[in-house]
Amino acid sequence: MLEVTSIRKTFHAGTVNARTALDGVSLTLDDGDFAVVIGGNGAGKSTLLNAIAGEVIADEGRIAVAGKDVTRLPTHRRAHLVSRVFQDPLAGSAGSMTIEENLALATRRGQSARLAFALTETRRALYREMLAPFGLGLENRLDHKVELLSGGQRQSLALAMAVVTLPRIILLDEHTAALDPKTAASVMQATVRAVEENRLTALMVTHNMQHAIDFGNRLIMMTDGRILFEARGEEKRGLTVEALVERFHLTDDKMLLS
Amino acid sequence: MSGFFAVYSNLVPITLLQGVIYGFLALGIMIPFRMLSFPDLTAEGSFPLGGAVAAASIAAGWDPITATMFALFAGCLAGSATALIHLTLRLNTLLCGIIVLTMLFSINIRIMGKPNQAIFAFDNIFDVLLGGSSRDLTMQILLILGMVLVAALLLLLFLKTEAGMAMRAVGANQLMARAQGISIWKQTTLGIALAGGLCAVAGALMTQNQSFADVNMGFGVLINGLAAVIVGETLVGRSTLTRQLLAPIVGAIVYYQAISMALALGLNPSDLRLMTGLFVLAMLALPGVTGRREVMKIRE
Ligand SMILES: Nc1ncnc2c1ncn2[C@@H]1O[C@H](COP(=O)(O)OP(=O)(O)OP(=O)(O)O)[C@@H](O)[C@H]1O
Ligand SMILES: [Mg+2]
Repeated sequence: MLEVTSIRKTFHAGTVNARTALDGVSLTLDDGDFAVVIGGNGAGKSTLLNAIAGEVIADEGRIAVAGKDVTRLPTHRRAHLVSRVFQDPLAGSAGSMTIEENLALATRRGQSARLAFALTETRRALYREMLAPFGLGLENRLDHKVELLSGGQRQSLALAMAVVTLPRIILLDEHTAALDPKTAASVMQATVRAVEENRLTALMVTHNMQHAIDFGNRLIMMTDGRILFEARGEEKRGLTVEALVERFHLTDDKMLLS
Repeated sequence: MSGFFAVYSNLVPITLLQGVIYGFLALGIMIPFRMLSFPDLTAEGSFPLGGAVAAASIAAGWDPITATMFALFAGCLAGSATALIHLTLRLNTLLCGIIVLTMLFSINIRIMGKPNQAIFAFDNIFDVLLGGSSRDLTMQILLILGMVLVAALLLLLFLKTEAGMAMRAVGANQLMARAQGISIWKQTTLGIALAGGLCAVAGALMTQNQSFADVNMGFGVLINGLAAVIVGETLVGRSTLTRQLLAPIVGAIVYYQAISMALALGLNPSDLRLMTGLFVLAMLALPGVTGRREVMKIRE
């Protein structure tokens, strides 16, 4: 479903500020894989996701989603394949537009915008159905502006928007990190439910070791722009937070807490 | 005081007509600032461009409606130029607008072949559409008011379509818009072109109202239009799309009445720009007034 082949990315190449964020990363995700990416600050996790999404164009290597080479495509031209939930709850939706307008945009993600009214009663009914499982009452506030929502509500909306078109891959970059622990847990739960119910292929970055152990069928650990360690299936299930810490001398508090 | 009322009430029909014409301009200024987060000065050039194109076309024998359409089209081109310069060179949008409006000064003279063009001898849009009552100011006001309201209604309908929503998403959150598969280039260019077209239509109508186009007729229209938008948003609000679209029209009418009152009260016309500037600054500085500093949010 996702094939990343030896991609490299150096920011500010050729200057004193040159910084290699990805140093030959290869990764293949099969249909339905849920991979969790961990690694210290600056390891290149966000850059990897940005390269897959199109926000960063890799200097070298190849990225294919569902068999289609997207390496050089701008973000908007691969949006029909890739969807995304950002760390910043404000980033994933348009604050000055209403909940239903945001959902209307997401429902048509990657398709050409038509000169037809975006909102119909049928569509509204669909949105209510989509939002109800979150248990936040958003289904009764369809015509409210998104900027009025709390961070957790907004992140739940972003999640609903990211899964509605059943993307070939969904990218989650620390998408619960800005939320309080209780909200983070419920958004995480909704994420797992959405990914599993829709059999999506997912790539999730987290600094929360417990989440990395509990969720997904694959674990990828990055450092210095490379993949240092990978575990899947049985091996992944056998991992514990302690074992990971022991194995990689993870003394960095930032990696343990978040 | 009775002198003031006599002077002012004499001016009302004329300034009302100018106010509704400036309604197009205020709409064209609101769109970049409000819908696209693209603070834009092109209006200062697209307004006289519309006037120049309309005057030159009418003088060349085109009928006034076609001439106004030419102006609309020219304004769209001017807007696209600003948008494309910004998108290609990643320059500050205000600078892109200044570059385009500066170049338009020469272009406008080229279009007319001289710095100004009188069209007293020709039929204008009022003659064509109002026939026998073409000199009736009330009819003229109703005609332009009807036109600007239809324009606003069409815009409202457009903004509620999928295409219009894509455009608003670009103004609201570019990262999110891209992630939804929306082309920032396409939507920005379309939106700024539309805005330029509206400003040019205002110029074309003003020219036909005065039977005269002058290359300097755009001087100061941006800040006047912005003041009109702010006044309108203070009166009408901007909580819904309908309000956001009505605000510039209401604002333009009220603002030009206020100016005419100030002049009737004895304000020196040459002090007008100073007063307008101070007014806009005061509105931007005042906390709690709708349409505060965020009007001037600048794109990266
Ligand atoms: N747009 C950019 N311009 C310049 N340097 C960048 C850019 N994006 C990332 N970098 C650099 O690339 C390196 C990898 O950054 P990246 O954001 O991918 O790390 P990360 O693993 O997501 O870290 P964190 O856990 O802190 O989010 C860092 O050194 C960062 O400073
Ligand atoms: Mg990161």
